[in-house]
Amino acid sequence: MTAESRTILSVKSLKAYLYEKSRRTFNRVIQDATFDVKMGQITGLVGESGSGKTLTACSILGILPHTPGIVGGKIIFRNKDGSQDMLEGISDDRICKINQNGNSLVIHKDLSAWNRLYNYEGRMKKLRGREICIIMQGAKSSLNPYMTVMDQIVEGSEIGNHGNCDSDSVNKLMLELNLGPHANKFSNELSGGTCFRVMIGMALAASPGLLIADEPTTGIDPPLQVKIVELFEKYKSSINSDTQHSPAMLLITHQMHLVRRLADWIVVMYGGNVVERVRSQDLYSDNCHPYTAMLLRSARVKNLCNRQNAIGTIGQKTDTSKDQKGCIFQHHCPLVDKTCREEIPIWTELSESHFIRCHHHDKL
Amino acid sequence: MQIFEEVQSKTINIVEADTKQFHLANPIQAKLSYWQSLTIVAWFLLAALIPYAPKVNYQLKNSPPFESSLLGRDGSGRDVLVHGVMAVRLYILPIVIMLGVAFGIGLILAMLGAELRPIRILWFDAWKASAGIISVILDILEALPGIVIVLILVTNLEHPNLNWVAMILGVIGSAKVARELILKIRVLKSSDFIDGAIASGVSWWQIVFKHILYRNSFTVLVNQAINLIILLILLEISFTYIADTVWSPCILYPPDFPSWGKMIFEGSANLSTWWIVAWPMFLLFLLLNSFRYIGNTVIRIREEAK
Repeated sequence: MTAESRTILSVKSLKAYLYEKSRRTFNRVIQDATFDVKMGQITGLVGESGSGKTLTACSILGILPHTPGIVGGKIIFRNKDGSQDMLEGISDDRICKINQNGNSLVIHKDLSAWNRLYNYEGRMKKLRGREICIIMQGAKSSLNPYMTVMDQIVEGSEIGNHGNCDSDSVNKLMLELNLGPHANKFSNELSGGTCFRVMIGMALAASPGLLIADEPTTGIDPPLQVKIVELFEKYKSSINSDTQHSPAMLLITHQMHLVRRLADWIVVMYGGNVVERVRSQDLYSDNCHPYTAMLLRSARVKNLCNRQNAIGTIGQKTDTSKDQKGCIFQHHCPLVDKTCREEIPIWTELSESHFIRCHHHDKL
Repeated sequence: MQIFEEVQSKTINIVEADTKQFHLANPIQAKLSYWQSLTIVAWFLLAALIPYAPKVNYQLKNSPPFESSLLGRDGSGRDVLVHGVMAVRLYILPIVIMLGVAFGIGLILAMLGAELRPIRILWFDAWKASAGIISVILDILEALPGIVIVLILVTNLEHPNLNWVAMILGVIGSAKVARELILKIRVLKSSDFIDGAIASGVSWWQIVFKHILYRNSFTVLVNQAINLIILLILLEISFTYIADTVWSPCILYPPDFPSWGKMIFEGSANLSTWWIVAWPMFLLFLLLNSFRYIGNTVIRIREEAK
């Protein structure tokens, strides 16, 4: 099987805007996201809060709010039957136009372009819950408080199997996830960890081609985090088989140790841009993007008081809503020079498993 | 911080209490609701299917309970027990019409008013405009003098009947249903579990009817239904009174037809014959009380079937 056919999801130069009611402006939330998710592998999407990780997942699922939402780039998703669902060719100038001051966006009603976007979202609607499943942030609040655990997992199975519930696989999942004693309970009667297991059960009941886990360990105590990591490791060992259509997983998190342990590939996002794509085992050995280096340093520092010194300016976000010349990370980069301020860096292949967007890739 | 925690714990308690309405933990209450619901359904079916010819016997008129019959007889000598039980047939069709109109119109208005859109349209402000228009329509509907309109209609129609009254009550009642649903939907549609359902691939119709209306707005709908039924029966009683005393065109059904309104009116005129009013009042209470339980029973039967 070729490398391309092993790719289940391919995101190329994705660009998305959202409307901000209070300021009456359009914010560019994703500027340039490019990465692939391969079958039978876990791809980790890391970055600080507000870097556009969750919105990238929403774009893939076709649930980004329509104001105006995705305006550029390409998303290609390969179904289990080998067919492709693709969003492509919507360029900025056809669907919307950025004003000269870079603050606002004028939407042109280009019907053909809009229709293509709706068609993609319409197609993704049919794939959601079948081919792509998501484990949302905050498991407890993401479960319907009026539905029992069993009902929710059965619903997941029904969506995944076109209205028919696969009772054998549901029972197997209930046993595997140890949800038997909680089958008739409501979400407010469950602990956070059990709710998370229910979310996993709902997602796996549909046996999806791509599983997206959105910050699964955020706001969860360390012992439970360990359990969740164990669950994912178990899932990883089950998907790593070399069958023709083994499922894949996109793990969205801002915890470097988690992706280091679980992911095969790591995609680093900053300010709506993907700045680095690297195979997990090469991340520590190879030279990496200055932003990734900061993330790694911040994960290593145990004393929180020293963290600010170690990580420098991380967390002070760049205003990505405006158009700007040069590298997105120029304001916080220790290696910044004139080229960084004027030219947008292009993708450079450092090795077969390491791609980076930095002018100083040779100095790293 | 302490206040925040208190508010949070109260909210959790409310959610838990609300959830337990559906999941009747008390076995006695669950069993009672089960049998009560079955009785009501059987009662409606029997009253609708069995033919009823009132036996008038003036020799036995106003005879007290346990004398010539179990619950006594009314002013025309008819058996109060049978008359009261069969009276429900008068209300079956009007209740169906009224609730159908009220919930049908109310649901459409609520979905437009709460910006719960089934289809995507190009210009996103169009739904905002629809919410504004719906708000004005609801204001107008709520300001309509319902009883006056019913009176005008009844007096001007050649053959007035309770179905027309029910239809007008349904149209006016739809505003209240829509208001309550808009409030509920607005809160729910921004909740995490609805976002989760959308992301999990649940269809739009399932989200509206299963996740929002059936699971989360059931109490609101039942309350509105009970209010409307009470209003219908009160209007029926009022029209019986008007027709018998001052204005004969207000007769909404044939004079021999069994009706709680007629019984309550007749019984309350002279409380020495209290049995005529007590039995329909009890049946009315039983009917309204059961409406709350029918929903619970349906869910319970579904769960047991699983």
